[in-house]
Amino acid sequence: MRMNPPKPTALQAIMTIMLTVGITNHVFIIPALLQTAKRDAWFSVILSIVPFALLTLLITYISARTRGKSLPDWLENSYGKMVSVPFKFISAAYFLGTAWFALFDTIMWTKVTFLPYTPMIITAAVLMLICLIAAQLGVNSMAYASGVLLPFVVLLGFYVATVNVQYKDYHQLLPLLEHGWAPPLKGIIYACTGLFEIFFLLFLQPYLKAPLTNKHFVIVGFILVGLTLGPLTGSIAEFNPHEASLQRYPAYEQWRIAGFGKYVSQTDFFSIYQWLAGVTVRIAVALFIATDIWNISKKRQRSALLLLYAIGLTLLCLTTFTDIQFQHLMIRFMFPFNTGLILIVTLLLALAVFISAHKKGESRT
Amino acid sequence: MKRKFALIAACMAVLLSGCWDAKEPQSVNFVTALGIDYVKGEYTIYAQVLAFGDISKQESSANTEETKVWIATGKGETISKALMSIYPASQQMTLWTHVKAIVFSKSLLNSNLSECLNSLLRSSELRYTPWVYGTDQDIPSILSGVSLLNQSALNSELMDPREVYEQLSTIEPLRLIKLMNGIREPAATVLIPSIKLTDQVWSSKEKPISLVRLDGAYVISKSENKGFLDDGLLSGARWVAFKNMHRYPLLLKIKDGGQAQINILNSKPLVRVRLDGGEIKFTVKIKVTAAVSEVAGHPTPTSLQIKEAAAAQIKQQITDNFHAAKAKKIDIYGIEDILYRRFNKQWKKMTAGQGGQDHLFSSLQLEDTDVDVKLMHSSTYKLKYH
Repeated sequence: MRMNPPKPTALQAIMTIMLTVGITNHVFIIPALLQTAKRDAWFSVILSIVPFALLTLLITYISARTRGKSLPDWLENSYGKMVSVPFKFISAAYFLGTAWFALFDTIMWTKVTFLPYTPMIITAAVLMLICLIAAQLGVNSMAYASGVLLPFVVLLGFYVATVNVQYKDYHQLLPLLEHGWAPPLKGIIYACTGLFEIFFLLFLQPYLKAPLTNKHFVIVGFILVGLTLGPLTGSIAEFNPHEASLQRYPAYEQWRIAGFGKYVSQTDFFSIYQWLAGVTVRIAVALFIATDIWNISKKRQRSALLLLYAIGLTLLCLTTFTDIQFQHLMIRFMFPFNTGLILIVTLLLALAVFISAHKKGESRT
Repeated sequence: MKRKFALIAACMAVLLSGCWDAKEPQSVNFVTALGIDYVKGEYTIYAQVLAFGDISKQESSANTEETKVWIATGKGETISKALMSIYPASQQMTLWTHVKAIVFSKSLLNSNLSECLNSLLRSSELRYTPWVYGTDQDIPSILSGVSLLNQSALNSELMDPREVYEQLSTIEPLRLIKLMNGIREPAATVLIPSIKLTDQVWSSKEKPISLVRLDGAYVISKSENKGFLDDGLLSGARWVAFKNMHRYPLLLKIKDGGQAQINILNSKPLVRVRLDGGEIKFTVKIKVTAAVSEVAGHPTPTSLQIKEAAAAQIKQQITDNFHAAKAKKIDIYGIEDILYRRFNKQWKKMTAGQGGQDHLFSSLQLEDTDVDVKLMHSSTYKLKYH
């Protein structure tokens, strides 16, 4: 028997979340935000701090009362299988969807931008294989990998923000509310899609050395808002909101203009590292949660399920839709749906926690 | 142990897939500059391709061989068609990601600039970083007349206008990314440098050599070409509208027959706009830093005299330039943009309907100019204070 390795710390969990959720805030939702709110997109993010803070409050409440227990286990203990099994199904479906969309967006991006002649099945299979290995190795491998990957991702992020200062004109963030309140209010839905993923922490928590404290949630909250505002204001200031809203990959376009001096005119290859680091950890985490939620004790069966997921997602990603359909689907349905789903599930969980706490209180007296 | 080794080997094999699209540099045509013309519903694209060896030419000590520039010409009713029409005779793959300069013909600027940029930018290979120019001359000769001393064509004003601009800030170079403001922003004004060939300056073995130079700017606003401004018509814009001013001379006549030349090294403008009734009134407050480069006459002009004369002349230039541009319906100092950002509601009202732009221009007024000149130094000779 091998000794069990130490469980990940809060810092490692935050780093994992920064990669897993960061890619949504930093990359995936930027085109949706720019398209709906244009110049006011950054204001949408500011406005969405209000619902985000409320949601985070609920999550800390849930986290404090469930004391780092896994949510399905806690639900089963308090309310029985009638509640926990549907919860498991919804969560597994949600995380598989997350993995699917992350994979699709990444594979399409490689195809459109820098590997136009490589068949998508190769890129998809290779990426999925790495994620599969990570998910198979478990939460520790993802936490450690994040610790290695994230510092460079952050460093590169600061690099691109700095060298692009030459193109930035922050006057372009104004005028505010040129077309009234409707665009920024609509944008809130998309800003929240990314921010609400702070919810993932509840699923990672059971694997940590110690439950997260309120301070940790607040730190992650601030990081996520910053991660959204950075490339968004950058995009508006460097290009202009109209140009940026036409771009399919606004965050990547910022990399394509990054260079310095006479001889280093192109450094966009670094963005591949950033994007892949985020997406690999995201898919791995999603696969892991969608597998582990079923509490399969037999190692073989667990691996078989993971493999099934991986193959299924790869095939789905290669066959189901075109990028044009995908964008339409995400912006019209999936992003708003995700925002709503996380909101409702969190509210229900908070209610469940509240009722259970109340009951206990009653039985004690 | 064996399993671990196999795993490592498998992981390394995975990395190999990264070489799938690998291209060897010698088997790719690197397009380094583009020229685009539009005549009677047809685009003509000129693609400048350099021999790979010519790009790094400056490394060798003597360049006896003439730098060869190859130009491909493609025609078509759309940009994509014109680009594609180059491929059949291209012998190998053509790559557009290294385009460093794009020259638009005047007729394109006048008609289809926005449509042309839409298709160019969608093609995913072109970046936002190339320098952009307008011209009314023959584009292929401009793409050819680019290198001095048989050096790499990359060492030319067309490919990197910054070096010349740092020594003499006549016309500010513009990158594609900022040209887009003139296309997409509702109130922005952008100056796109005009490039032309001149054989008046250089010669070799008594034969004149044609090389490119910048000679003015086209004004792009709301996707349209609003007109051409030569060096003289940029005299005020240089201090107010240019984002970065490195060095530009000012010849000053000083009373008692003295004269002085100073180099303006930096200019920090502050433009304030206010609405007064239906009028748009703006003030320009400007701080320039200068160095004295030439002084002549008896008695020699003093520092204070030079300062005074410089302030007066700059003020005059700013006023004259504003009125000259206004007459051409050109918003040279970007006042409309400030209006749009600061007083959006009023801007909407003023520009609404037909003739909105005319209305805007007629109510534009330069209220006051305040110039503060700081003479940093007098170069390597001393100068009297007063």
